[in-house]
Amino acid sequence: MEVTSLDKKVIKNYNWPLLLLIIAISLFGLLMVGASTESGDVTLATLFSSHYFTRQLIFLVVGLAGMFILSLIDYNEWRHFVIPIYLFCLALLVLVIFKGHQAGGSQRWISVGFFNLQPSELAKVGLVITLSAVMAKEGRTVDSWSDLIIPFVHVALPMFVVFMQPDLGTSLVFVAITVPILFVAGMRWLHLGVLSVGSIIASVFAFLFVLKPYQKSRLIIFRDPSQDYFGDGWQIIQSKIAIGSGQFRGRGLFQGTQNHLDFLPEKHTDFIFSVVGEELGFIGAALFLLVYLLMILQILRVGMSAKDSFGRYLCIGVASMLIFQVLVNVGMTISIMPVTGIPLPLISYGGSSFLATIVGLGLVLSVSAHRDTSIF
Amino acid sequence: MNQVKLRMTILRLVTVCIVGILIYNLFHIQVIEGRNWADMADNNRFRHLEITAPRGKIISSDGVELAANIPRYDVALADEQDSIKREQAIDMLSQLLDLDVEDIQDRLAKAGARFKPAVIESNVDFETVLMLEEHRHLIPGLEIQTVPQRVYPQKTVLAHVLGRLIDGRGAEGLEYQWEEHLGGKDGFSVVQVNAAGRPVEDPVNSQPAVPGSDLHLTIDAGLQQAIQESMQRVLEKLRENYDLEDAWSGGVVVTDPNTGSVLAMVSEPSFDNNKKYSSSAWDANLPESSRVRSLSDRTINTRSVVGSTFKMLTGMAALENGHVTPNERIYDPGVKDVAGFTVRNYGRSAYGNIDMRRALQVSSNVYFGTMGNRVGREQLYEYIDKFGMTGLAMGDSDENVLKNAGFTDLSRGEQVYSLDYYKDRIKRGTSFYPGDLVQSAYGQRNEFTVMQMANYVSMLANGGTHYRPHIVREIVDANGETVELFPPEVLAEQDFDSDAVLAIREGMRAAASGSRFRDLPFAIAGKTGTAEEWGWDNHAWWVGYAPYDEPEIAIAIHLDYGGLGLRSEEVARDIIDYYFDLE
Repeated sequence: MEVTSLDKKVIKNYNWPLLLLIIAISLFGLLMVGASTESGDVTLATLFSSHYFTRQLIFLVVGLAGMFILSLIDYNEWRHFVIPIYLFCLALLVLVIFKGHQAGGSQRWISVGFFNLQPSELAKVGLVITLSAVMAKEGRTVDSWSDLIIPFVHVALPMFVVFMQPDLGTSLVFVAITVPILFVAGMRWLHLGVLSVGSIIASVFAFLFVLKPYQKSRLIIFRDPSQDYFGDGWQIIQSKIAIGSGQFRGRGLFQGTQNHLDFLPEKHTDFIFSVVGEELGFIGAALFLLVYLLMILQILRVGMSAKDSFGRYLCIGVASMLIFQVLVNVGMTISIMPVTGIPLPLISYGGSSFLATIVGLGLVLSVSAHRDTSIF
Repeated sequence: MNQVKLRMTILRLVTVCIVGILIYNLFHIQVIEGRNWADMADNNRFRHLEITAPRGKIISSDGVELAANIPRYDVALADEQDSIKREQAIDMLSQLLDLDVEDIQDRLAKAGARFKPAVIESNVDFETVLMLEEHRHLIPGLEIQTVPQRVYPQKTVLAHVLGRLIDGRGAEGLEYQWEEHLGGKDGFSVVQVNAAGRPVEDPVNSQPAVPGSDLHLTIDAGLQQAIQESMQRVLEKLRENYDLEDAWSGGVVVTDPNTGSVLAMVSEPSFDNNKKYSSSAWDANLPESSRVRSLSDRTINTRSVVGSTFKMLTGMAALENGHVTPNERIYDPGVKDVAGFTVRNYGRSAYGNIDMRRALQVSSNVYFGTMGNRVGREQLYEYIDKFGMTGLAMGDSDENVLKNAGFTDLSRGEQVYSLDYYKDRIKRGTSFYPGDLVQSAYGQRNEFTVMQMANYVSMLANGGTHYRPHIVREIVDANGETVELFPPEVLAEQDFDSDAVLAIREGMRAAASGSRFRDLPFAIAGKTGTAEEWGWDNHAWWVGYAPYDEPEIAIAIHLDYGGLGLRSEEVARDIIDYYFDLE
């Protein structure tokens, strides 16, 4: 590798707008973590003495630095490590079932010294990399049913393990990553249709016979949370009250009453968007979503201009992973989606989620930097 | 490649649609429904707390608290978010209070609002509170709530007059009539609470409670109690020694003839206001007869024939209208026909030639029957009116009197006849039968309350001033400032002829000079009465005042079915002994 010429091209092609969007959204996320854990007359000093804020700040600095370094490396280098990555993720997922700590009735994380690793978060980006590599293999087609077997098995294995944790939300993220990649890879409309109908039937079956009662209740309660006002419905109602009470202009940063009087559950993690809605109002929440949309569209644009299909699939995988999680997470806070414990990427507090997302984005930046022609 | 481009475009569209749907929903919740959700957020965080105003006390003239407040302790548990802590708290409470775990969980569930403390056990004693406090660290969420509770420390003393509360508000008696002053004004406080229901800062808005004012009575609690004990003792004696099986009840009123202050008004049988009506009050030994069992106030709400205690009224009417002079003697053979009606003295005793004083001393029916015939109906009823015995108890406006006395029950009011009623009866004439007037003259026809009789004897004592009987002396607010003072109020001034009054008084002094009163250090005035009720034992009455010179107290005593009036003298003696601190 000729480093100097490489650098020149990388710098010339580097997607600065996307980098800026990522940094802006991450910083916004950091601020919201601060807002959801500190209140009243908040100064920089109080923020920096806040446990969650400083930890998230560390994740952010480490993550963004790592992302930048990652973006300079040609993403094709990762194709050599597909099998180790896949096996590593799978191993962690299995390990968490036996050694993991509980969260909400399921095994979610492993304690590794200074922070709690959530294997399912790593597995999301791991799946993006490995599935993209599998689909980008020379001569791979998706014309016939038999062509679909390899990618299906590839996804089904980790998905099954995650489902057993049980972590329904993350296993659905896997589906959300897989389908768009296969779709762009040229999957037939007929196959897509058949699989859609099939999965709907399978979902109904799963709901009736496989899911545990707490999962079922969580899945349907969002349609009528008042049914279990003080139980499963509580956080849904409180979240909706928080967001609704923000009205157009919001209560003001650090001023949300639902947030600071602890009516909001899990407000720095899964329900952080409720804080956004309450304190920044419709104007802030909508603006945030539009910026997020801009970032995702930019990622898809990078995918269009990728020099090879591996790069393109990586971008599609990352974009799908993000938009699906935004849909489910934000949808959950305004009760148009069930509560599934999926964080809001780049915003929710948590090292695993942030680092996994940032790795994916680093790969996208790499794809952009290592393309053949300029798209600008 | 075109195919890829198309499908990428579809992905972009889907992405835009997803964000579009989210923003659309946000717009709906935040902008269109926003106001409602903001209200709900306020409902979440603001809690309106009622602050109950401390209720005023009712205090007797001798400083005894007749109605007071004591703290009631309720054990409450605030629901803990942490289920392990909650179970621990429930376990501990179930052991310490000896309750079923299921019961406690039930009560928590019924509390309604999340994190609002639920009362687990109401009204526990102070030892239990101490015991729970010792174990507080083992009972997360424990709250001891202090609720003020009305108590009547003297139990049965003045129970009829004090009344009671229902749901913290005066519902009967003085508690009802003076609610405005006793109740004070409740305050409130609006606090911001967190999700656990704990206040997070100073109240957002608050109004302090204004404590109720104290009611200071003219009633002397010691005298009241002494009378109650005396009545019970005498009634028991009557039942056991004189075979008067219905002698269970009665009423006594003691007033200050110089002011109208009611110093005591005792009605037997009494009851304990601290107890609920259902588990009341009635002494299990009381006979079945509802007349005896009735808990109505016998000083003011029941009327009875008053017997010979009425004779002073007839005497006043006769003397003042010139039908007789103090010294005119009338022959009393013991049994005599007056206006076609045969009048008999008690025991048919013949007293010979007697004047007014002697007639009162020996209680001659013949003499007063004769006087009645001379006076006539119209003048007799005029004197009933002059002595204030036509109003419910006393005075121009029954309602005012009742209010001051603390009574709400006006049902008996209809049966209390006005002078017009009597005059109308006289005009019609037909409702009388032979002997009615003559019998009226010595008290065997008209019915009066004990309060009316006390007022009547007060007027004889003070020479004709009709004071409004009152039992509330002063209202004092929580800062010790007088809100309202009730000075003596003159309802009417009868300009009685002093020679007439003197003759009556001397007769009463002679009547009250028997063995029961002989050893008193001062003379008193008194008169017994034995009232007949067909089919029942006689009623015993005694009215009088003491001392004879410069009277300080006027007394009216009525023992239902107590037999001879003489029997109630023992109660009169006890009253005088207590009041003047004799013995």
